[in-house]
Amino acid sequence: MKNDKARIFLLVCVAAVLLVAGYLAYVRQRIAATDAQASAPAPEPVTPHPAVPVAPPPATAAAPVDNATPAAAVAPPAPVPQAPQRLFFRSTDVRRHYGSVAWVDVSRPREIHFVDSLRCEVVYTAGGSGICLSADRGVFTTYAASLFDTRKFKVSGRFALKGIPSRARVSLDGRLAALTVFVSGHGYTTLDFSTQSLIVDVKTAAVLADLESFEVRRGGEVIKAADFNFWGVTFTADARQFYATLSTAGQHLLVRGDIGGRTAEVLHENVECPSLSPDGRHIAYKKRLQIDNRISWQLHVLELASGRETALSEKRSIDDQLEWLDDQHVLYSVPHAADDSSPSTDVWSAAIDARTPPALFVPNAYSPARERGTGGKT
Amino acid sequence: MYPLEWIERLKLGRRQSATAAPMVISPVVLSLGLTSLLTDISSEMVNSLLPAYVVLHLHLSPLQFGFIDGLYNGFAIALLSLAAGFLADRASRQKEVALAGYSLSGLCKLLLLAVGTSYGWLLLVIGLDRLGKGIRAAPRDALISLNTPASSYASAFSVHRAMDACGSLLGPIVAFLLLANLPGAFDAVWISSFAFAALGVAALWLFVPKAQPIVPAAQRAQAPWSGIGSRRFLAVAGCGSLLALTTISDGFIYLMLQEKSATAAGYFPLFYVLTATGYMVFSIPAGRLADRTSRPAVFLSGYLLLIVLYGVLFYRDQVSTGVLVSCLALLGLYYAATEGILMALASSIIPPERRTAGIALIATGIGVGKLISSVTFGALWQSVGMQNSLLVFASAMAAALLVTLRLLRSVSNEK
Repeated sequence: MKNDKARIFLLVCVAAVLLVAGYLAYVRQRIAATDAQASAPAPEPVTPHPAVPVAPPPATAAAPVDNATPAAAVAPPAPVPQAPQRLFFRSTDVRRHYGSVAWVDVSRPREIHFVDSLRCEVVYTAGGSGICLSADRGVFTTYAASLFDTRKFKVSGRFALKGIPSRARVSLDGRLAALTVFVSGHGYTTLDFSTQSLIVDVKTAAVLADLESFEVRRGGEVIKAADFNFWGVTFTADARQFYATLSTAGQHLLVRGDIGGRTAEVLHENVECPSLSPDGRHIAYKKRLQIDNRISWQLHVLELASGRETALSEKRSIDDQLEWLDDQHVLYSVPHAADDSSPSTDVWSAAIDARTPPALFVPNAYSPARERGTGGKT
Repeated sequence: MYPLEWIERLKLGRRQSATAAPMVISPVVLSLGLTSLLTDISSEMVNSLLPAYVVLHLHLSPLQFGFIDGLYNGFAIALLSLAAGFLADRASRQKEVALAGYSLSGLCKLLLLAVGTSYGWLLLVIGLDRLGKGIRAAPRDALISLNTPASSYASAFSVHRAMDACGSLLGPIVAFLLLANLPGAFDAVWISSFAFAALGVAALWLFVPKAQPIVPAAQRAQAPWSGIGSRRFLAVAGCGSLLALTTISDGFIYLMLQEKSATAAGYFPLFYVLTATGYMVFSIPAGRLADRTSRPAVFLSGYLLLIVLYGVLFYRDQVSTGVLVSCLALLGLYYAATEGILMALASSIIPPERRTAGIALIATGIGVGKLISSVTFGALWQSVGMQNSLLVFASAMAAALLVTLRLLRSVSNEK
């Protein structure tokens, strides 16, 4: 009797081991397969969306322009041939260089250069400086930010982060960096999250400010609440100001902050992860909509002068802070598989004219950063 | 002599002297420990990864979707586990109810696979998982005490808790090892977690015998509150809730330690691990000590240690790594000296036919106390700052300890 039970338990153990071993083998194979598919010559988006026509990857420095609408006023400047126009990103190719920093010349997006010394969850570069938010995966994962130069990729400073990396930006002059992390409160009992957004001095790797210490005004009145959370910082060209999202009481407000004065002002509602265009005229962002009872982030562009919002032609829900390829096109990452069975994402581009369909820009990439402020005019 | 305890001693056949008793750990307790160990590996694999899963993988920002309504869920689960407790006591169905709870949580690991990217469904599955946890705890503790002579209650609970803590240590390690080899393959973690949960259920099903019906049929018709309406029971349940009400939750203690030390918040999981290690290491010695000397004394000492911890947090502006580790070990020691010991205390005064319901009631009181304490401490911290809140809670706990001391003394005089 006793022996029988032990035998049955042993059988259950064997069954469990077989189940797990079989599933792990399947996962290994699946990761390899998704990856092979993604790096095929003409990549199909693994996340099919009926409303999104697939445009061929761009062959020139010009961002993809839909042939069907030649009248569209999209005339990106011709590239200066000598200096490479680099687009940095995080490689999400699971076969090789997974998590490494990589870059392509935007005129040759197939030719990938890897920087294997830097492994990041999120990366951004501007003005000759870069920031890499990394996860040190041990038994207990810790997170850190590293600051590096974009010529030799030498890390000049490093500090620990309080939570899971989310967004990063560097100012055009390469002197300031901003980052957002998710700080999971007590983790083990609730899914209670808050964010922390910091502004960092690149040279000294010192934290200059936590946005939560800023005095926020809305219509002249100072507002303050315990549920304030900031995320998605984007610097102005002079690096004296920034835009960011302030979340409070279920609202997601666009604020413009003054770094020197430690103040911020509410400008607009329902703007998440703002990104200021190189010409300073537009803010590209994700707008939170409720579709079929689920949150869907739709990409929009806000014209700062007029306050006019334009929905982009991308109809998938996108959770990313957009990057400007040029004054007319934005870049963002899209997961390979809608069911998240793959850790890989691709970088797509969309024009801000609301008509041109989005197109795959760089496969197996995340966290795009079009390098600016390094002498070469964009 | 309390009449129902007398029944129990009769069942055991002879009166055992508490001081001379050797540590008797029934194989049933070890099997329950094995079940808890496997189940904790399973659940901590998932728990330790949930924040990363939601943010990095589902690409969802929980901030915007609303949090789990802890209070609402907490009360619903407390009510259901009370009902399960009463159900289990009727016809001694502890094993079946526990099996249902463990199985529900195990199935939730499979449901995680089906949830996909829907955050709403994810919250529902997590809610069901906690419901399973709520249902199974009281019948399991009742089974531990029903399979143990009264003189060894504390030792039995301490062995079980040590195995339990061991599982919650191993869970995150297994999960991270898996993810390190298969980047982003959370479904592989869910499947492995399910496998551990299934093993836990199998161990319970195969190795834990059904509880013997103890009470003659005539006594079963008694009012539902008989046996748990006694002064002694109310005293123990009240003390448990009162102390929980003045206990600062671990999360806040970790936050304070982190503010006062140079460690980054990335080490938060490590705080948890050190506490669990302390719990695991000290549990069995504390349990044996409680059986040999006095359970109330060990229980009260545990809370005195916690006041010492609050004192260190209050008087130290900066804590070195050594002090930090000692504080976390102290927290583990506090758990070792109180959690299982309280269940042993409770088991010795709840008649066997009301054991599950009584334990569920005490656990519910503690749960509600903890919820209120968390909310209160959070609000206090916001309004009057960390130091003042610490002072308030430490004083309240000292007062609660005095009340507990008097109450426990007065009821023990009743014997």
